[in-house]
Amino acid sequence: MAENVVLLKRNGSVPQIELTFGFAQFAKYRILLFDEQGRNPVEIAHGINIDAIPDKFPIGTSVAALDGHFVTWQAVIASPTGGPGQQFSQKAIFTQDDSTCPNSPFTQAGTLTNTITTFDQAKFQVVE
Amino acid sequence: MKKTTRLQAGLLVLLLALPAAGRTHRLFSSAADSATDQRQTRTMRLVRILITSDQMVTITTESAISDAVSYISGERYVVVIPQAVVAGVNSDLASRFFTNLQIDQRGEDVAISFLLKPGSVGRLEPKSNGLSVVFAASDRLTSQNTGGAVRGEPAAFSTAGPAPSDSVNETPAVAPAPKLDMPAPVNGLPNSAAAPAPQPGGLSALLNNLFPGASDKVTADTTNVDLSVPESPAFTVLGFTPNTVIRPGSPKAFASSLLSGLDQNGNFQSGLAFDFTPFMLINGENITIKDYNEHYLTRLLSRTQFSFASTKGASADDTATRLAAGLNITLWDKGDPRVYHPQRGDDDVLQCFANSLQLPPIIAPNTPQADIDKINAGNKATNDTVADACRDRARKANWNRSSWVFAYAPSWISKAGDTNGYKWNGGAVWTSVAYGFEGISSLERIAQLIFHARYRSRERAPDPLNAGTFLTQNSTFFGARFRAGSPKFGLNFEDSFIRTRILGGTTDTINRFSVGAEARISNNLYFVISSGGNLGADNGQKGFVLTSFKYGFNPKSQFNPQP
Repeated sequence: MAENVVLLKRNGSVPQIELTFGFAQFAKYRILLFDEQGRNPVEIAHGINIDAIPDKFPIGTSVAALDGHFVTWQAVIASPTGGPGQQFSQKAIFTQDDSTCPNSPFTQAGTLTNTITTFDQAKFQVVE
Repeated sequence: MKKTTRLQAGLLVLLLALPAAGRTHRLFSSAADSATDQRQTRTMRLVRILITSDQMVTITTESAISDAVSYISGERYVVVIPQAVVAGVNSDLASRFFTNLQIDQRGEDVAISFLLKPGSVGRLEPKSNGLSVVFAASDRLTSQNTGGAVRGEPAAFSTAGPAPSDSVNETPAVAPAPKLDMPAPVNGLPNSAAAPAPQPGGLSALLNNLFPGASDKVTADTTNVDLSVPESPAFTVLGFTPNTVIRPGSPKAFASSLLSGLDQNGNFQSGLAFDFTPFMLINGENITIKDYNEHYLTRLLSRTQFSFASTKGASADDTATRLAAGLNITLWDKGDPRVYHPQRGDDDVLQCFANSLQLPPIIAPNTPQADIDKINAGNKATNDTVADACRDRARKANWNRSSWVFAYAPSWISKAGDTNGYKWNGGAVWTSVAYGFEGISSLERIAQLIFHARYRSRERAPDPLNAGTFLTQNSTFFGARFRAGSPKFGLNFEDSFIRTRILGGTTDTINRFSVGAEARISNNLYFVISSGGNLGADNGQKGFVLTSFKYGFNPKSQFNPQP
């Protein structure tokens, strides 16, 4: 898997991650933050994409502390209607100071048969 | 006038008879219902039949039989045991209460019927390893068992507890031994999956007396007019059922391939068939389910479907090329599975997904892709089953929600098959409005009212006077249907107005109606009663014409509207 790298400005605000799911499909997701060794996961958020809660969450408490850390997002996407010819798309958008971070967003898309389970990750790199 | 009176009498009989038919006894009704749901996963039971005394027949199997049903058909007392086959019969004793024992294998069920002697009745008693059929003189069991059952119709037997021990006469019998009939399956097939034909007397006789021309067919049908709007109108208007329909989900997938199939005249056709939703195709990645829920225009566009069909005759007799485009719009749909109704609980597919779908275990960064794929595939397998169950539950709970669908399909033809010679070849427009009685608690889960209208121009239809030839006609159709019911009982009313104008010929206007009802007697046995007729002009006839009145037993539900 090619490594996704999110560039963060050291003097910027705490970054945020937003998950969006296209084709009007249902999704249930979980976002985790790992240390530099890819261990000690801390849950950033979990939820579903149909409730009133925005699917956008701040990551960590300081930008400097995120340097070299990993963030992962896992989701189950399901078609409410079922049937053939279904598509899905999942997009993870990282923002800092209300601007999209360099290299972001990260997208997965394809055909959907009933349900699909997805996984993706990114590594934070703090720059001046 | 006479016919009108007969119709009124028939409707009265319908109303009076069906509740009685619906009272058919279940030994344990609640258990039977759950047993019905579990039929698909159960295995066949081996049952043994033993005439243990002159007033008792024991039916044994590995465990208690909780889903047997019994009813009276003519002079016979019938016991139906679902999901069973007979492993053996032992008959050494005679009975004073019945003279004949007949065993039928009806598909997956066993029906054991007893030809009762006059004044005899039977009832079921549960046992730990099966059940017993207990016979007695009617004056001994009537008060607690017959429930006022009328001979000749499916009967209602009391489920209230076993009979007192003194209700069974222990005196040894002196009557002749009952004759055992076990019809052999024909060609390896079950011996008539349908129910026993109604016996003379009782309801059958009553219906036959009221309606001398009534048909007591084993299978009773009604018109059951199609009131749906075609999902792919272009294919429908061409009368073409393609072998394959291209349903591209992305622009990249929007490719074409040659298709083939037969048209309504049986001519081989080759061509193209597309079916797609442009808004999803172009903009699907940006349509979130929240947008879909919050904006009517997003819903409207997301469900607006286009179809396109092109056919070319592949034989020397038919070289014409035909084109049709189709548009299907869902103007509103209260059963739309993408619209979130958390108050419906797990009857809402999205809420069910939220409650039931499971995320996989936590995957650490830099896990090998092969391991990730394995974890996700295992999780998908689990969730697929759950998601199917959610959709199935929601479909059953929301089958009758209100909706309004509209469709239009124009078509063109080039008789020479060249691209310059296309001419108008008629078209069609359809619309259906369904009302699900939302907010009316007594009806909202069991009933639906549908209104349907369609107009077709230059439609090719078989000529009823000249077999093998076709007429070209324009037709206007208005129809309505009321359906109500459950797995146990179904009711269906239909009325349709059809005006047909044959091009260069006559115009015909008729009003067709049908009414039908059914009651489930056992898992594979439904008593069905139906009637239909025409009102107005039809082939020169005026006034009301009752064209059919049928009753019978069907092995499958015909009117249960619920999926």
